[in-house]
Amino acid sequence: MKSVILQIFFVLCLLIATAYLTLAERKILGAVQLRRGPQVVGIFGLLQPLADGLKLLFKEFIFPRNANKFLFFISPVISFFLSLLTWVVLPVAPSIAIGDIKYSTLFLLAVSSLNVYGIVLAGWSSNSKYALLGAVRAAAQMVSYEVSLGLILLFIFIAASSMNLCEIINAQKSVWFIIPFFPLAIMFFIAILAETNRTPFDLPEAEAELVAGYNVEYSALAFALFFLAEYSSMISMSILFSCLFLGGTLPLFGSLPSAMWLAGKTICILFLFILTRATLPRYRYDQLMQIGWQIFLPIVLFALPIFCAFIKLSL
Amino acid sequence: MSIILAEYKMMLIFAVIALALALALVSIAVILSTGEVYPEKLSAYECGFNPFGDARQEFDVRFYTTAILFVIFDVEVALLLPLSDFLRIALPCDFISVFGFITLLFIALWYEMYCDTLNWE
Repeated sequence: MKSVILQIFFVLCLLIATAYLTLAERKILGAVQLRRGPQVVGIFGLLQPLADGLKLLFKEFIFPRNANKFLFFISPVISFFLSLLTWVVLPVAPSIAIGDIKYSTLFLLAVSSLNVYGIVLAGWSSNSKYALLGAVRAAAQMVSYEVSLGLILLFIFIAASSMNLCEIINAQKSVWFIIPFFPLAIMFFIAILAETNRTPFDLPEAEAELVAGYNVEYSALAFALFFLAEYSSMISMSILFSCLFLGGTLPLFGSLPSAMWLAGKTICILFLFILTRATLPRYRYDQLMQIGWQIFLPIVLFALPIFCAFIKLSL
Repeated sequence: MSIILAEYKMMLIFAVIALALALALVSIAVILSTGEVYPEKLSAYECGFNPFGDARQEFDVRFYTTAILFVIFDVEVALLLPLSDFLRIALPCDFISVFGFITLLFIALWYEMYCDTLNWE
């Protein structure tokens, strides 16, 4: 019973973190564009996410006329559920995760690739042209970067000789993996930008042509769920990045608690996410596909046997 | 054994909480809606125009071919994943087969590029 209450508390905390990430994004975007961002609701706009949530609660949920009602209802649920499920294996302190299983990174990869279902079902079931186009684009994009993402993870698995996130973190005690794997870390970062449909790869919701992409027909809390799902997977992907390349909970110096180190590293990655959105223009779709299939995949495939031979010879 | 099962039990509890929360939120949205509807409100959004035709039209076949390519390559990634445990104990002759498999993948990718399947321009 105690564990159930603790887990509910955990879910609440991560929802609050997700809500405040949206505020942080608006604040940082504002600062980049030399304006103040939200500042009316509460001190420094600190109550803005709550106000947004409350507003969405009082909006009306409608089923469009030609929509498949069941799929239309269930797809935000799937999206939100899966993006929360990625959190289950992420370490929150040294060697502590809710599910500290042997193949935790693999589990995370599997769940994040299932995310495509929520998006495709949402786009298809709402029976709107924009939604369908956005969903098809999102699916092709997420799927394309999945392959390179899996191969990059393989490098880390080989280096740490484990697929457990806590053990991967412990393997970085002598040196963070970002130093030997620097080009891979950059590619991984770009791949997670594409996986989470963020700028410069936000083609699925290119607002100038598709309005809002796959969730254009959604309103009220169902829309909020898609929104929260997107931002929560942003945070979980950032935590994954900091665990794989930045040593996760390992401290750099001093005696701060290790959870703070993980949080700090994750916030840096999230800041980078937002800064990317503020600076870079959107890619064209053919460029996006070209990077995924014709640049990343050959590089990783070429580097893999060399790396394997190197490891084998150094053993 | 029981420790492993305990981990999965915790994960299951978390999954149930997450699913219940998601279902509850969408259900609240559905219950709270007034049901006051008129044709314009229910029609698909098309920038103020009356929607014409069915939205389930054909789309570019390249999306489909990309998905098929993904399936092939992802299966190959899945086959490579045991390498992380295997590499430590592998003999040099085992390593040749790994190398051959990756070469095969590379040739497949090169062939796809040669056939212009990956070109979206």
